[in-house]
Amino acid sequence: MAGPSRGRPARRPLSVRAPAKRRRGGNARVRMAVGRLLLVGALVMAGLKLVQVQGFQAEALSAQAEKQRATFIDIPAARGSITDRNGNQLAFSIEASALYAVPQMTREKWDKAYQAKPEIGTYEEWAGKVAKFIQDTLGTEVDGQKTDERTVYAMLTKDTTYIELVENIDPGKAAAITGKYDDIGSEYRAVRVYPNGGLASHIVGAANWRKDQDPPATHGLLGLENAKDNLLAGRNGRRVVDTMQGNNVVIPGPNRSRELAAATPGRSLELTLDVDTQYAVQRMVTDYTAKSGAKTGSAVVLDVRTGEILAMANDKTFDPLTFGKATEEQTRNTAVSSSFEPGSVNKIITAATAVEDGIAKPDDVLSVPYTIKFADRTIRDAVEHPTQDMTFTGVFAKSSNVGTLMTAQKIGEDRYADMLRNFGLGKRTQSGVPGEEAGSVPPRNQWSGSTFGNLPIGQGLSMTLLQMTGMYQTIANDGVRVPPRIIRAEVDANGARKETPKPEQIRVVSPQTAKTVRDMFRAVVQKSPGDPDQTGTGPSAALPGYQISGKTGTAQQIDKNCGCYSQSEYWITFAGIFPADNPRFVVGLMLDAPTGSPQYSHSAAPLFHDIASYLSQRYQVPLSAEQSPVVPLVL
Amino acid sequence: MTAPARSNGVPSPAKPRERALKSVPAKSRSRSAAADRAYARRAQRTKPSTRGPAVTRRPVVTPRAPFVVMVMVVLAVGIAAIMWLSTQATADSYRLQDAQAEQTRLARQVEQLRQEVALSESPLKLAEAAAKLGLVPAGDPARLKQLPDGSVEVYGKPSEAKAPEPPPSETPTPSPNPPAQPDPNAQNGQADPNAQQPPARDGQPDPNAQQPGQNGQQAAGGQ
Repeated sequence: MAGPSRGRPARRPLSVRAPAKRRRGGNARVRMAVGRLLLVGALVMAGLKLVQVQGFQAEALSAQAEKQRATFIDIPAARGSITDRNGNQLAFSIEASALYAVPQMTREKWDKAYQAKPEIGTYEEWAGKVAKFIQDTLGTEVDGQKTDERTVYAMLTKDTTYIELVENIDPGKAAAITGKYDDIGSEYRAVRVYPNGGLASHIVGAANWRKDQDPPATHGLLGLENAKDNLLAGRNGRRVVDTMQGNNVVIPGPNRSRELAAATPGRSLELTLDVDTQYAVQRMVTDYTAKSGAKTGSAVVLDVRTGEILAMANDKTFDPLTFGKATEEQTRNTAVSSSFEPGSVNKIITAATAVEDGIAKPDDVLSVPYTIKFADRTIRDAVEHPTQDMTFTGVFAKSSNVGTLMTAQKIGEDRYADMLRNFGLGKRTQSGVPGEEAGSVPPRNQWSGSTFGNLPIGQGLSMTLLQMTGMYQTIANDGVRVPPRIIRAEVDANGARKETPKPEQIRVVSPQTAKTVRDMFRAVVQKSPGDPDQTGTGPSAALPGYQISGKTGTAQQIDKNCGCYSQSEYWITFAGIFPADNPRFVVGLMLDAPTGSPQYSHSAAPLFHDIASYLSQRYQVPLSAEQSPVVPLVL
Repeated sequence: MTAPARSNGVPSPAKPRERALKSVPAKSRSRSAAADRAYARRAQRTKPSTRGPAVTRRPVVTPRAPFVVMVMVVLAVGIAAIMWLSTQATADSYRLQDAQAEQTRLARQVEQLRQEVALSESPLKLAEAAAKLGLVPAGDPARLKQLPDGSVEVYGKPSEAKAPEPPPSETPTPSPNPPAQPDPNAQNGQADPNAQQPPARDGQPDPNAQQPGQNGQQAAGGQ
C-alpha cells in the first residue's frame, strides 16, 4: 500500500524532467524494466514450482521423505496367561531375544574398513572376539543350543546372508552383546513358560514361537492354547521411528518415535482347575493305572454345585515344551476325547427314573433270576445265582443286570430314551475342554429288540468320562444337571474379569428322587464282614467317617477279531459322590483294559477312596453327621 | 506489520505532495471548486489519522535507535530461548530414553522374578523339594470326631507313610539331616525356618517309621 503511493509521485517528476536526462534515464528505464521482468519472472516461476511441489506432488514427496527416514516397527502384543482357579500360573509368556548376524554383509563392510585402517584386524579376528564375548556372556549352552566359542565362530564365518546364532536368551544379555558389537542384531522373541510341566498339559496345550507367521508371534498348537488362540494372542501394535539413512539408528529427539496403534495385549484365561488337586489326582491316577496294568486311566473331579472341573487327569502326560516329541497317545485327553461303554455305572439312570416315576422304592423286594431274555439275547448276571429276593437297593449295590433290566422294562423304552438325553448323553457337554467327543447313543428309531437289553446296563452306548461324571453330578446336585466347564473367567490386561456365562441348568429329577438315589447308592460301598451277600460291589471306595455314594462299572470291550464282546478286556469305571449326605465333589474314574493284579484291575474303587481321602483333607470337608446305615441287599 | 506501514504511510503522502507542489508552476495551483471540495474532503479524511503522527512526527527521527536495539534484544532473547528450549528438549529426550531403558530393564527383572515365583510355586517343584527334605506322601489318615459329650470317636486306621522303594541308599542321607537341622535352628532362632521346621520334624520320623509310634499317632490324629 505504501509502495505505489510512494512510488507514483516519485516517478511522475521523472516523466516531466528535462529531456537531457532522458538518454541516461532511458538506459536506466530499460535496465529497470528488464530487471523487473526478470524478477517477476523468477517470482512467477518460483510460485508455480511452489504450487506444483506443495499442491500436486506434495503427497508423493512427503511419502518419499517418510520412506527415507521412517522405519515401521511392530509392537508385539503380550500373550495372555492361563491360570488355575487360585491364580497359579499354568502358562505365561516372557520376553526373550534371539541373536542373529549377517555374515556376508558384515564381512564386506569389514574388509573395506580393514583396507583403509589395517589396525582394526581382519574379519576373522573380529568374529573370534565376538564369539568369545558371546561365550563369556551366555555360557557354553543355552536351552540345549550351543553357544561356545567355536560354534559361534563357525556360524559367524559361514558364507551366508543371514544366520541365527541363538534364540530365547535373556534380553538383558542380548542387549549387552548387541551394545558391544553392533553388527550382531537382536530380535524380539517370546518364550512360553509352563511352570507345571506336564500337569494339566492335555487341557492347557502348548504354544511356541512361530517364525513362519506374519508377524511372527507365539501361537498355540494344542489344547486351549490352540482353541483360544485368538483370545490369548492379542493384536500387535505399530510404531514408526525416524532413523538415519542407511542404518537403523533412531534419531534422538521428540516426535521421532510415534505410536500408530497401541498393542492390544491378549486376554488371560482363568480355569476352573485347582493345580494342587490336579497334581494329587494326576499322581494317584498315574500310580493306579500302572499298578492295574491298564492301557490308559483317567479321572475327573467336578464341583457338585457349579459343575466346574477341579481336576482332570490322564495317566499319560506330555511336556508342553517338547510337545513335538510327544506321541498322539500322550497328547490325547482321554477323559474327553475317548468314549467308552460305561458298564454298570449307567444303571443310575434306571434307578433314578424308577424312583422318580414311582415304579420302585429302595426297600421294594424283587425276585431276581439269573438270566433274562431280550429278543434274541439272554442277559446274565455277573455271578451265577439261583433266583433270589433282592431289595431294590440291593439290585444296584450288587449290580444285578437282571434286576436292573426288570426295572427298566417297567420304565419303558421311550421314557428311558428321554432320560438318556436328559442326563446329557450322546451330546457334547460344551465344557470348553478342547477335543471333546460326543459319545454315541443309538437313536430311538434305530433300536432293535435287544438294544433295550443293553443300554440300562451300560453297554451298546458310549460316553466320555466327563459325561459319565456329569450324570453323577446331576444326582449329587439334587437332580439339576449343570454342564461341566473348564474356563472360569477371561481376564484382560487391566485385571478386569469377565466370568464365563453360567451354563444352562437342566432339571432331570426331583430333589427327593436325587436324595433317595444317593442314599440307595451308598450301599455300593457297604461292607458287611463275613456276609458277602450284604456287601456291595465297591466297599474299597468307602472312606471311614464319610458317607460315600457311588457305582462300580465293568463293561466288556469289543473284540475286534470276532466283532463280539470280549471276555478278557474290560473298561473298569467308577463314579462316586463325596460326601453323599452333603455332596461337594463328584469323581469319575475310568481304566481301559487293566490286566494287572486283581486287587487293582477288577475295580477302580480303591482309587476313588484315595482321591476322596485327598479331597477331604485339601478342602477340609467336615465328617458326615451320621454314618451310612447298613441295609439289607439280598434277602 | 500493516499497522506501522499505515502510520508511516499517512504522513508520507504529504511529503511528496509538497515536493510536487513546489515543482509545479504556481499558476496551475489555482483549483476548481470541485477540486477544492475534494481537497477539503481529503483533509477531513486524513485529519483524524494525522493527529497521531502529528504528535509523534518530531520524535520519530531521533529515538529510532532504542527501538532497533529493543527489536534486536527481543530477537536475540527469542533465539536464545528457542535454542535453550530445543537443547532442553533434546536433553530430555535422552533422559527419556534412559528412563525407558531403565523401565525395560526393570520390567525384564519383574518378568524374571515372576517366572521364578511361578516355577517354585508349582506343585511339581514343591514335591521335589519336599522329597529332598525326606518327606513322603502321607497314607490314609485317621479322622477324629468330637461327640457332643466330649468323647472322641476315631474313624479309620492311620496308615504309615512309607518311604518309596528307591531310596534305601538315600535313607541314610535324610536321617543325618534332621539332627543337623534342629541345631542351626535352635541357635539362629529365625522366624522362617522355625515356622517351617517343626512340621518337617514331626513329619519325618513318622514317614520313616524309625522312631517310636507316639509321634506318628499324634501326627495322624492331628490330621
